Amino acid sequence: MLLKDKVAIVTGAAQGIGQAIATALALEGASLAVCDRRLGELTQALGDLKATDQGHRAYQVDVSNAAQVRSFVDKAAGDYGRIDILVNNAGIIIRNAVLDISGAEWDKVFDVNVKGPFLLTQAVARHMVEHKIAGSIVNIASTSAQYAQVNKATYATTKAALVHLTRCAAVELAPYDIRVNAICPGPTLTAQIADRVSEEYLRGKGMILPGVGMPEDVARAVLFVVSDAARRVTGAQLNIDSGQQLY
Amino acid sequence: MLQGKVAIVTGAAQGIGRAIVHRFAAAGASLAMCDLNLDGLELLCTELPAASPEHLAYRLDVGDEDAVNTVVEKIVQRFGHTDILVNNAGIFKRGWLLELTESEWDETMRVNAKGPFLMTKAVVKQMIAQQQGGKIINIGSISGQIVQAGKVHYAVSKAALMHFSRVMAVELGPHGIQVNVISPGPTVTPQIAPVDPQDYLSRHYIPLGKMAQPEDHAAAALFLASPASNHITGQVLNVDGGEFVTRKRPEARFPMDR
Repeated sequence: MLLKDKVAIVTGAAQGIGQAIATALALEGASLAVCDRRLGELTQALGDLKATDQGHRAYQVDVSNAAQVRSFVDKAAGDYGRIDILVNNAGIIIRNAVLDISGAEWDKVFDVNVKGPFLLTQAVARHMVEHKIAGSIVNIASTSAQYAQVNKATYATTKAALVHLTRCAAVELAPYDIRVNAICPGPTLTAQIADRVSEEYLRGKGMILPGVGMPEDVARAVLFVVSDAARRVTGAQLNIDSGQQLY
Repeated sequence: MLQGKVAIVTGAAQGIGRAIVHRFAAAGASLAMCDLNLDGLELLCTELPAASPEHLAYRLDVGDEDAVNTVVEKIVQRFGHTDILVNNAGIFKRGWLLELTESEWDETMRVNAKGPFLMTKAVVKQMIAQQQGGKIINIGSISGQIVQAGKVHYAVSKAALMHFSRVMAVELGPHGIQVNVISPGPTVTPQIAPVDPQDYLSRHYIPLGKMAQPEDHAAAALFLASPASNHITGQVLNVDGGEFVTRKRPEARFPMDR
């Protein structure tokens, strides 16, 4: 058990990669404070973790809302007594050409994908600093942060911003022994896209390893960076993209 | 070099923006200058060569979508076309991650990241209609590439702007619109006037031996606005005297003094 007695926050944990991360952390012994905007689906996702019950709790939170984030982090810290791990996974995508993106859409994607991780990082880091917890923060970015694709202007821009937030936070929090890293998934076959995207389609995107990336692959990487195996790793970005970037 | 071209420059009243205006005007362009500080722009107008190309000043908050659309429409009506956009307007404040307020975060992202998006969107509509291509130059920052503590919101906004530029280069390339970034290193501008260049140089290693002047960035902007750069897009041009090509740091930057 890599994470026995650790308490982990995972945002956007109701489905997909977030759910896989929550499951992986729970299986290694962590107690989870999971949050999502959709409490129903989140509670259901949590139900699947009953077998590992370390006293997981679900919270309804909009990560872009500063007041909600503050009260969530306070509540989770109160409920568990400590927070050791934060996984900023919640994110949204709106696909649009730049000529069609409205200012409101731009704001919405930035609020969830960049401001949300900033608010959570700040709130959780303050808790870690106050309680002298050598914690670990992981931001789920995307390989879209590293290259440009059409119709992803807002999404790709937010993920690049998130990767740089990772680096800046890593430098500022290092004196407190808090590590901050980014995981950049490439195309990942989540349940949410499985009904409209085939494995074959994803394979056509230039991944050089056989098979396609699954949510569990991302979760395994998260497990590595939050564990002691990565205790000298901070400010890094780790691509989980089946080597797509090389191609 | 820019005869007959219309260039929009945001944040034009001081510092790097002001230097770009001077340089572009000297190269023959007509300038549409935007800034919150209209008095500063009008003063700048009087410094420009009085010859034929017209130069006009517009009060503009680049983070305000309605204002951006209105001003760009006015510029197009007045000048008939627009060929160059320099997204230079930006704000900088120090701030530490653990202490930043939500409003400080929001304001920096609004001006430094959303502003260039709104300007780009409004201006490229016109550029596409003209079918003559176009040149967009975004002023990033070394802070968007490397990490220095104590300015997280600024650094993140600049990283966002720089990646936005790459995506725009890909998306707008088919229309012949080029999008590039100038990434200034520490520059002697009113924004950082309190920094004494001698003091900075005594603590940092700049291979070329001096801090940048706004004119250094204006010269790079002229290159990216001119036909000399016609096959360049999606690139970041660092104008930093070589400071950030090396990892040599005579003074440990960390832990930093707060």
